[in-house]
Amino acid sequence: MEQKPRELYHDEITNLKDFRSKIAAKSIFKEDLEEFSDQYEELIAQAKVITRVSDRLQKKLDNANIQIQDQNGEIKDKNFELGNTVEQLAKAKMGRKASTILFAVAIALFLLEQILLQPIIDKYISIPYVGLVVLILLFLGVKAFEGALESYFMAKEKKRIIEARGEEEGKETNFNSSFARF
Amino acid sequence: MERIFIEPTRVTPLINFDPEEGILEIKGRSSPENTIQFYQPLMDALDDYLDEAEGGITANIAFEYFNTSSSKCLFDLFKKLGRLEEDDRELNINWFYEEDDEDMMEAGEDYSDLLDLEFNFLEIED
Repeated sequence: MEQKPRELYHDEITNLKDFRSKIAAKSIFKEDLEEFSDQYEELIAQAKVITRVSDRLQKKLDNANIQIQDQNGEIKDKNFELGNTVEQLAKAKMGRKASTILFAVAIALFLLEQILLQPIIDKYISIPYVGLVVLILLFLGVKAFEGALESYFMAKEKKRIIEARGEEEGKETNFNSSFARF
Repeated sequence: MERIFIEPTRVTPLINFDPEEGILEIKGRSSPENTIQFYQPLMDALDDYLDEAEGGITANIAFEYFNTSSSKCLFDLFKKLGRLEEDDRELNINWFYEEDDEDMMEAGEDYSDLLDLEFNFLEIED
């Protein structure tokens, strides 16, 4: 037969019950009182040590909690710094990409202007430096377009990062739910 | 007398009691949901050992943390072990604590003082 698990302070409760049954039976002797006072003294000593030990370990837990809170604060700060750095890196990367594309566009526009537009200007317009003004206007337009292109690439990159993070979190959730099943 | 071996979990310690070798090991964290139920097999095995065997015990205790009800069970455990000394049987209690964990060391000192048992305090280096 399986034994019923005993309760906490089982022995002390048994001693108390025995003593009370002796009182009820009016069969108390001096030895019983001495024994009961000894048991009571031991119980006080136990209570003292258990309280002291628990207080010590509570202090240990409190210190661990404070340490965790400090570390959480540090992690938050680092995450914020990391986020900023990643954003700056992404911005630089996208800026380089936009510049490369615009450089190619600028060369293409310059060649087109020289091959197609310049002969027409030379033939029909007699005002000096018109070709040069057209070129400057084209380059200014390209430069204005650079900011818009950079913003477009940044938005695209952010979307990609969010989607990648979503997939990762999805994988983690799947892993955790599979793990929880075990 | 059977050997008692309980694998550690996140909230319960490793327990290894080998009656043949007279070795008792308790290691880890102790905050079980039902502390009495958890320690009962060990307590029963120790009672059997005290009544039936003749040898002593070397207890290696290495806690990271234990809750209040576990501290009561530990008190009862050391009280049982103290019976070995009363019967002139060998008893060695090695109380391990992590480096700089003064609270755990002092917890061992409290048990040692109250139960009048000699503990060997051993520091575990990180």
